[in-house]
Amino acid sequence: MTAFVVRPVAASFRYQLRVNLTTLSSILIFLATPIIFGSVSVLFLNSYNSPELTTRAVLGSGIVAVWTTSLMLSNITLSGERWSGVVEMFLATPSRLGTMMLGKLLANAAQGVMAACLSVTVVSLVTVTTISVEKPLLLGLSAVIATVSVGALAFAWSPMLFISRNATSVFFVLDTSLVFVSAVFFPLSRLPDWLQPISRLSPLRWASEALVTSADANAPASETFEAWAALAILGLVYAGIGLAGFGLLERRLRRTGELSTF
Amino acid sequence: MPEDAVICTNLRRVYAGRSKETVAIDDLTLSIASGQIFGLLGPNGAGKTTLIKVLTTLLSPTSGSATVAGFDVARQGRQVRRRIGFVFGGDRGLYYRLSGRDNLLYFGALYGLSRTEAGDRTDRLLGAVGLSQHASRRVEQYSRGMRQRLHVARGLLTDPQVLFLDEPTIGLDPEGARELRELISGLRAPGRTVLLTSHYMMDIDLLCDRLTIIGEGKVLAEGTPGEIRRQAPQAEIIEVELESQPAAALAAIRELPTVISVAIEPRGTAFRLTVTCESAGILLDQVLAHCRVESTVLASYVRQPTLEDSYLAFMQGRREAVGVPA
Repeated sequence: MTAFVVRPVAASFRYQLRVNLTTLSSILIFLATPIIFGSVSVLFLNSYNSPELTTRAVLGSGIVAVWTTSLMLSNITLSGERWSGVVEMFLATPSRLGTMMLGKLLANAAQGVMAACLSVTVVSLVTVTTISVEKPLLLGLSAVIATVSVGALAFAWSPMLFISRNATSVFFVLDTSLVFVSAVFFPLSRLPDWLQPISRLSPLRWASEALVTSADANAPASETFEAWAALAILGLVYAGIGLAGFGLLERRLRRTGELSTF
Repeated sequence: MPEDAVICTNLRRVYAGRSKETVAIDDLTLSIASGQIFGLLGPNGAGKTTLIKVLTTLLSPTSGSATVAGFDVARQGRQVRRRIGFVFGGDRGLYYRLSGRDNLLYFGALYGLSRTEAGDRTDRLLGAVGLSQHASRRVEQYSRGMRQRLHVARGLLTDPQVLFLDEPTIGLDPEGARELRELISGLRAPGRTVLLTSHYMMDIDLLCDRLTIIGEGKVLAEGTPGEIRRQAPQAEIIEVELESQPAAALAAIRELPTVISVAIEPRGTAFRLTVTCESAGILLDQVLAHCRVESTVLASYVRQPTLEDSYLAFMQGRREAVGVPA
């Protein structure tokens, strides 16, 4: 367990983060995402006049930064490593492809947290908005749980990037659609009725609930815990889907030889 | 540890395309004894790399069976991967943004080594491949030869029972290739088997205890380099350095008894005539006599065929057997 699960995940996390922080494209994503979603947040803030909505819009830019950064970095990481022959070397080791990729995706999500902090800072400075954080410990825990759960969603999607080059194009649709469906910048009640049940499957929606209720002194803790439970369940489900997907992918690559790059 | 490190029995690998299937390995049976450096020779498309991929579990066989270090590649893939090292030629498959040391530490973790264990082995291996002084430099700053040596170090991280080297000297300059050959020859260790593919006959001739020539996915010949040379259809080669290119003499020499082939190529301002024959003996005088009619003979000698001559003869024989012009 330790040798072929914990060590590969930990090492993949550590070295992926190091690669990201020294690669120009990764740094550009890290810088661009807060600007893009910070701007969206500012648009919503201009029409909001309640503290709850303001908090939602400001923190929303951070949640979207985590999601988009995770997804975009995963896209760059996986396609780059496939074509550079690194993934073929992974398959020659005793570790499972899924465990290595889980570590890498968590590193990308961690970089998303940095982008989220930058995004929230940009929005706060541009709009001269301050949000009061009444329960900082709860907010911190919410941020960690939300990041892992959102990272798990990106992980579940990642095997597709190996199977089809079109997955890269589809991911842009997935990215923006999910942000809308998850009601990150606005209350869930503003979504059409038929979309609201679908949003329950999105960790972004629960991440928004967890963060907003953690920051709000008047919100009961039970609302935060409910969001945590949803994030934990969705995180486990999506991580399971990702691991199963990479398992199937690994068998397929060994059967077909599609990964051949040398 | 079984006596044979690698055993292939009726191994077959077929690539399924949209319109047709390609048979890369065709009913191949082969065994490699433990502790040898074993060479695989063959032209492009012969199935060498596919065979290596099947043995390293990167590809599953279509039918037949193969075991490496006593484990079945199809059913016990993880057991096989714990006991092998894999090095491929070229400078890909590395993290350019990480240092050489970090590359090895990362792959050490993927092989299940603890940080301490991976660190110790990394330092030792970087020393063994002559990269200790460059351990902290990013791989993007390495020369091609240095990257190739780093690949070899990575292949040795687990102290593998079987090490696969697929075209390790490809793309290296002569000096880099020589350094790598020296490195590979130093990989001999009790119980360790090295399977090497290369297009460079010198690699195989100098390094390998035994070798197999494969073509179209089948074994064409197998033995020690000396045995392969003796198995080849020709026995001796006459080489003549000439001042000018003869014309009529070539046709006449081709008609001499026991001559298998005649070739001439420019060598600087002179020309070299190569006559492959069953026995040089009395033929040498006849060849020289024909040459002197049209040109001045600068030098002449008879030599035994090299591994390259033998390999080319096998391939020529194979082409003739299937009716393909040379």
